[in-house]
Amino acid sequence: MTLPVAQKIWTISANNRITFVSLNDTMGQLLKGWADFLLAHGYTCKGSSNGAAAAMDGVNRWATAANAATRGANTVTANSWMVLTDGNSANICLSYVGASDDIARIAFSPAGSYVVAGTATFTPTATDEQVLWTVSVIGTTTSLDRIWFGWVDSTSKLCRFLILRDSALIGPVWGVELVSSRVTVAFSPAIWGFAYNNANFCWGSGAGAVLSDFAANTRGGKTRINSVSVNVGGGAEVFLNSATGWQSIKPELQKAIGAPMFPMSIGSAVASNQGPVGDLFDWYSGQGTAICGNTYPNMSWIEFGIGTQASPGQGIAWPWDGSTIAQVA
Amino acid sequence: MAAPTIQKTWTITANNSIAFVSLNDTMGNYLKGMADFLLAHGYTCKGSCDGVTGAMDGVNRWTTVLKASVRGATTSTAQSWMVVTDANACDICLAYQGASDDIARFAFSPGGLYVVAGTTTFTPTATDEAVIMTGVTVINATASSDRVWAGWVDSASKLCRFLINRAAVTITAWGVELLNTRASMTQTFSPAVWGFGFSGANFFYTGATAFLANYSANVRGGLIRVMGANIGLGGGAPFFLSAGVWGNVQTELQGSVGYPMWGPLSVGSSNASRQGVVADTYDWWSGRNGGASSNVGDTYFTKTFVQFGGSDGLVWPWDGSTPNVGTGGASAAQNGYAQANSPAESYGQPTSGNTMYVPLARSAVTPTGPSAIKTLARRPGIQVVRLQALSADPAAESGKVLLYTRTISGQQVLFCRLPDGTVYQVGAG
Repeated sequence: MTLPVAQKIWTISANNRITFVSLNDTMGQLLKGWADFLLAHGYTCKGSSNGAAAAMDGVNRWATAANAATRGANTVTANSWMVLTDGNSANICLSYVGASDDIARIAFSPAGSYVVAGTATFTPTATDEQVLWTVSVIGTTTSLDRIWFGWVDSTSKLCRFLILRDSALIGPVWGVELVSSRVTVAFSPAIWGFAYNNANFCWGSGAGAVLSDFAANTRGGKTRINSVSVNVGGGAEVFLNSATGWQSIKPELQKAIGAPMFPMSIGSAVASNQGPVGDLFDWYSGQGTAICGNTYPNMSWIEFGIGTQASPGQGIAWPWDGSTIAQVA
Repeated sequence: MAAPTIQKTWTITANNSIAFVSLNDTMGNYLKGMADFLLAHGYTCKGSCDGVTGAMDGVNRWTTVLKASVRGATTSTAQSWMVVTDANACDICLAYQGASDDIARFAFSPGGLYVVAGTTTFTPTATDEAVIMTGVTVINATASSDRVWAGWVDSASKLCRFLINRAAVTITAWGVELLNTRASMTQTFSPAVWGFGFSGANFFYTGATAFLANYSANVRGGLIRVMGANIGLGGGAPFFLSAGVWGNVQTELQGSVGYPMWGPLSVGSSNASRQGVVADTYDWWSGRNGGASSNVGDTYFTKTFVQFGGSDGLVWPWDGSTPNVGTGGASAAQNGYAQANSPAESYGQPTSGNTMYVPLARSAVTPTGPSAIKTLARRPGIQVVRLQALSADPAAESGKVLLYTRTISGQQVLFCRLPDGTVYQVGAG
């Protein structure tokens, strides 16, 4: 048994360093960076706002970072926003909304239902909107560069992002992705949107880890099944009443070739919509004494999570590009 | 959603009620019943003892219940015993040995190595013996009520399992079975068998004292022999949302057709030096967790599966009959659906430290000039630290270990200086 074989073909944008100038500048660059990456890999712009002009007209108005840097204090204030459509026909809405410059709002519409709000520069609305994140994205510290990483698959149906500052994850680890469905009811597109804060992006079955249930702006994700929003949390094969039993060793019964990498699934405990939901593509448990940014042999997988040099810990392993040295600070 | 696929072809002896006379009689009946069932389905008698005569000669001396009813207080006391050999070439040893009449000793030898003890009526011995249950009650110590046992053996005579109930409570479950070895289990593991023993109170799916918990001798889990030693195994299975697996919900996302039946359940080891995933069981699943009844003896589909152990108990194949679980028990019909384990695990080991880039030029280095002594803060991912040679040892510093280089006789040498002034050479180049 060796490393997992990635199920999807990924394009990875690594080491996108945003030299710190201000939180507003960082956020504008980050939002524009995310959007540009997606638009370069099969996602289309459904509409956008630069804070002054806006329409759901397919025009990308984020020509500069400044165009993405107009923050609105709430969704009914002019702000920079962009709606993108993926290969699932779902919409992702990035909008610079929040009470301070470090906050943005990330949401998606499984059915691709976003329309402009009554005032076009306000945050767009969707009847099936799933809000993933509404708290700090880049941290409030007004110093140090932020570095972001992005993944998109070759069919433009999965994307994932994370941000680091000073060798540690900060803000959301988020994405909107196709899953391998395990349900027998209406679930189309079979996608989930997820968002984890840095403290919850760790493997384990206890509270505060990816195998625990959804908590808004904290961990887990959202799907839309049976025409309703369903919060989901993680699941995986667990041995000996512990999800972390062998993650800090190289099990001898496998001839000490490495730590087990268990694939991850999602499920729902929402009343009337309970049960396993799906298996994730290319999510695996990481090694338990890892540091954020550790790569696996051949640099084919990389681990991000709670682990730091001072306190190594267990994270999640995602595919990597085979060559790039990750910059984590 | 369909029923689980039964992997083995089972012969099941169901509803074997032992009318209560005494604990000794019940145990004799149970031991002889199990032995007869195995011998009728491909297991062979390697040797036996009726408490008076014992030999490893292939002769079955348990011709009556009384012959299986001689209890020895210890392994070096005359007792009824029988060793049977399965198609894995493993030996299973049933010995009526214990401090009281409700206790017996079940063990096996993966290598089929049982030989008679120095005194042939004593418990046989094997150098690789793995003791499944000993010193604990097998049939419950209460001197009343019928016991009802059931046995399973597969068509290849490589798996057998037994359990016994009293008054609708599962007392013990045990067996010696072939495992479906995981591809990742790369250590030599032949025969790939485990012997398992569960008390009724541990014959459940989830929790700290259940199948998914770690091995506990005479209580739960099982034993295998690998890498020259016997090691304990605990269970594994999918687990969602920190709360389990919807044991008492006919999950709506699967169409509300039944309770998820997770499996086949798996096993793994946390034994020091022998840790890791081992195998999947054959035909073990999770059962319903909850309901109006105790769930002991509840069946699924057309009575093709049965649950023992109570709510959150475990599910095995069944023969279509209505289970008899003893006085006061009732079998209910449950709905279920197969829910497969997640894809198997892979393995990898991240390379620590040297696969990240952290710019040293920031706060990592106190920027006091290129020739000054620098203080490195703790930083991840440092690949190379270049130390400029000193012309003399630096002064010792309280609470700090100093690492530095000097050129000695043309060789640049790495030193450390301890707070007490001691200097050690670390390396030379």
